[in-house]
Amino acid sequence: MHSYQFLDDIAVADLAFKAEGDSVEELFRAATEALLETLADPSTVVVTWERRIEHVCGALDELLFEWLSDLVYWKDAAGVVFHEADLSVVQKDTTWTLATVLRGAAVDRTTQILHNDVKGVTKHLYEVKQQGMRWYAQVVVDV
Amino acid sequence: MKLNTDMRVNRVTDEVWEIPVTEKAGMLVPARIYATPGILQTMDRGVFDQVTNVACLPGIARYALCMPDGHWGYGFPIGGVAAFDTRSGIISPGGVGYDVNCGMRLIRTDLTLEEVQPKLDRLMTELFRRVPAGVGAAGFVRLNRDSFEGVMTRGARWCVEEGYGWHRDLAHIEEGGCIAGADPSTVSDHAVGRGINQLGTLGSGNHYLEVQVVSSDRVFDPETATVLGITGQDQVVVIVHCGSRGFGHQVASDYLKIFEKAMRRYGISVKDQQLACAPFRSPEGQDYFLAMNCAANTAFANRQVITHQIREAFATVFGQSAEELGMELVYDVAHNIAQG
Repeated sequence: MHSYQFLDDIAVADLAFKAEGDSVEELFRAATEALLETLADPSTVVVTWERRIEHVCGALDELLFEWLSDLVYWKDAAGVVFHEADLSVVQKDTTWTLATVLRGAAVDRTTQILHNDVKGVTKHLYEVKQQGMRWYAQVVVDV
Repeated sequence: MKLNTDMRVNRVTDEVWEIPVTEKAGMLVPARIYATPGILQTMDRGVFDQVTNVACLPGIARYALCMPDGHWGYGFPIGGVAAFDTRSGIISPGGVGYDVNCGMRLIRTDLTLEEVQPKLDRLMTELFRRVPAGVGAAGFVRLNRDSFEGVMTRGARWCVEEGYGWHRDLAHIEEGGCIAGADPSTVSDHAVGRGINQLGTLGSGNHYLEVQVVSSDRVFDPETATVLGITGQDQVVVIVHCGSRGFGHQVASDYLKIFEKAMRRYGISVKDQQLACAPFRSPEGQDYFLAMNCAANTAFANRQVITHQIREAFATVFGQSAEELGMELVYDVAHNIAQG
């Protein structure tokens, strides 16, 4: 189970969201969905573009930051918005590995509902934490 | 006076307020906020926290400053200004701002509200068509790596050489629209990949292109306004607010990551990880400065190409050339930048 909510009172001129999940993987899914929704309505994006991305990192908060930054990078570099990302997050010893298949399509104003042009993920009030059995992240994005 | 902070804030004058170094451990200089009492009371808690964090940075000179537009930013407050000793001080992407050389540009016209009002719908449509905004917006200027290096090193000068603007525009742009000492070799492929298709795009968030009308009762210095070409009631002007787009943001993000590691090596600690910095004279600090100059020039170029498109839109709608419409550039000023 995972969920996210946008936070209205954190970033004056920008956007923030809180994501949570029953596991690290679910947390990543929630944060990914929040960022995808920040860019465009994923249900209006018909998949024509796909990319496999893998990251290995010692720190979970850095791994999520790198992954969300990747989404922003591909949005600009390939001129795409996203429908979904299949992802897995696996821990082995002291490292975390994120493997994803990111799917989307070139921006098309006539068929897609576009939202915000995110410039970057910031470390302003950024945190990833576990409370009890649940994982949480707070993310502020610069638009 | 009730403020959004528990820190002591002393009145220097009715427009200058000072937080002494005793209010936070590690402050090297006092913090000064420029604001009327009314503005000071509306400032959020982040202003006081962040401007005093800035006052802790190595090599800061005299004061950490915050202007009247101060509000919560990333590392520095928005409206934050600081000077650092170039021998002992630091440089910080958080201080410059993620959107390197975000700035304002004002273009005048000879048109009046009465002349523009009947064609406003068509004008807006034409502006939207020629100046892309929002997610995935790509500019009409097609660049390869070589020509993008021209943009990075020559800024608005590159645009004028390519026919996007008038030579006299450059005299009205900060630094003539081209900051010397930009080195593309210090910029990542990631940053180039994000920026190469974005020249001439407005972006999102609080960036805008507005067609505005002059109100004579809001002109506080008529003599200076006349010199600048702001001549009368109901004169139509155009203002643009935008910066270096994803390119500048990627430059900042790349160097924040480098600086986070470099700080450990140089024994620097900061109150907020978004204030990650390096000594200005260090290899990392110099590389960032050269890369930041590339982003600053790209922002000048971005606003120059947008100006070209605005002139084309007006010329199309009003059936006269931009020169005949008196569409001179009044000024272009950066508000996210570091200068050496």
